[in-house]
Amino acid sequence: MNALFESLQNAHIALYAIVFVISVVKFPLYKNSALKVLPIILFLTLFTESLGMYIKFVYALSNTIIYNIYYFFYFSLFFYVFKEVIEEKRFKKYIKIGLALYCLIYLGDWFYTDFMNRGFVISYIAGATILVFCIILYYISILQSSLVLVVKNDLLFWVSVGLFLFYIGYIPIKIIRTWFYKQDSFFEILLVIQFSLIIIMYLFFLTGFLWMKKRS
Amino acid sequence: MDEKEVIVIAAIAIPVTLVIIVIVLFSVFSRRKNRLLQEQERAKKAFDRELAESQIEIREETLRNISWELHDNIGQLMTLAKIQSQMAQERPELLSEVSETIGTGIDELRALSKLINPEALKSLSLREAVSLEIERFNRLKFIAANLKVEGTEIPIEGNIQIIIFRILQEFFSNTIKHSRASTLDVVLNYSETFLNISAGDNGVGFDKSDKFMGIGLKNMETRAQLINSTLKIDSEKDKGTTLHLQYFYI
Repeated sequence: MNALFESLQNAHIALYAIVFVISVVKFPLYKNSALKVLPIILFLTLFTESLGMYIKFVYALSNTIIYNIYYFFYFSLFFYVFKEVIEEKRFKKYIKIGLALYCLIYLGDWFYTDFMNRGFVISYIAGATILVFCIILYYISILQSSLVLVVKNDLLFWVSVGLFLFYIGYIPIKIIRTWFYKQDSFFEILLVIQFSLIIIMYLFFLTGFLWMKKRS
Repeated sequence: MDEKEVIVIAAIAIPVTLVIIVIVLFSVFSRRKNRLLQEQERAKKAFDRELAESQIEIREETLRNISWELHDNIGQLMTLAKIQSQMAQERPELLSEVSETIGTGIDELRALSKLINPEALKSLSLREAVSLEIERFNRLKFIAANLKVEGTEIPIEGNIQIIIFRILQEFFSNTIKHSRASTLDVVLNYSETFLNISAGDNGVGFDKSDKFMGIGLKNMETRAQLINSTLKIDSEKDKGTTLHLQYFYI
């Protein structure tokens, strides 16, 4: 089982790197759209995961604070992307409200959580739920427009499918890990699912970058 | 429920849910895409049908115009020439007048021939086509017509131009036949994003509840919608009728 974890962990770091490199190569195709922040998000992810592993395995220290800071930028940048891409004003307003709500909860976590040793679970779940909500709004806006005809070549569509599947699967895992955690082999099943979800999400990102066509 | 049961349920439910989501997501998107494609196909067929009808109507209108011109203009000139030539048998000094009348007739015939040449018509811009109609109205003294062009002329796609021209032609035809107007003012206003056309007469106007007029208006509105335009016709009894057509280039 440990060998499987190790290979899955290495696979997902490798995937982060590959997808980041491809996002940079394909950057000229989407540099004029809100999607231009995607390489930043991908780089932040790669950097945080690498630094987190380095601190954990080399210095045997808690790396939680790095993730606590990282998730704020990660969710905020995705909210920004969806707010910019969605054209309907009503949906933009909902995303702004979602972002404000997330910022409040995130701020609350700094006050009420031991940020050095414990992850910001509440703000993470709130961020993930709001992101799923943004993706649903994005899908509604696509279905209402003629964009649905060219969705196969739309980068954000594939990115959002990856994110959607990941968070629908990962939110329950996060809840179970936080409130039902006990050190035994049963939890390892969930870890296998979690790593598989990350790989699936990045494969969708990869599909998006490889199939995309220029979008203004 | 202990934590092991929760984990087992989650481990089964999560992959199953994800598979269901993927299936639902892709089936919703492909159904919507297919429906949109069908709608586009229907819209294209409707456009082609209207385009074909417009072309036929323009041809019929042109034939009617030729008939009028031959009868009212060239026919009259020829009759005049005949009378003048009969008079010239007794008074030879009138022969120059006969020659002049026949010359005018030939010029009118040439103008008509140029106007009905399909190749010439195809190469005309909207402004030129409308301008020829206005000149014809003035030449035949149907109505005192005036064309004003504002802004820089922007070429319009051929098929769309045919439909716009047909809408205007139908309006002009109604003005001449039914409005009893003495003036017709047409303005083509080219802006960067759209073409604004207004055409107004000073005739008797009509009541919009008139069923016969309603059908004609509906026809024009349907055609305007097909080319991404808005059409508005304002009319008031004894105050004339004005057409406003706004065509967006994209």
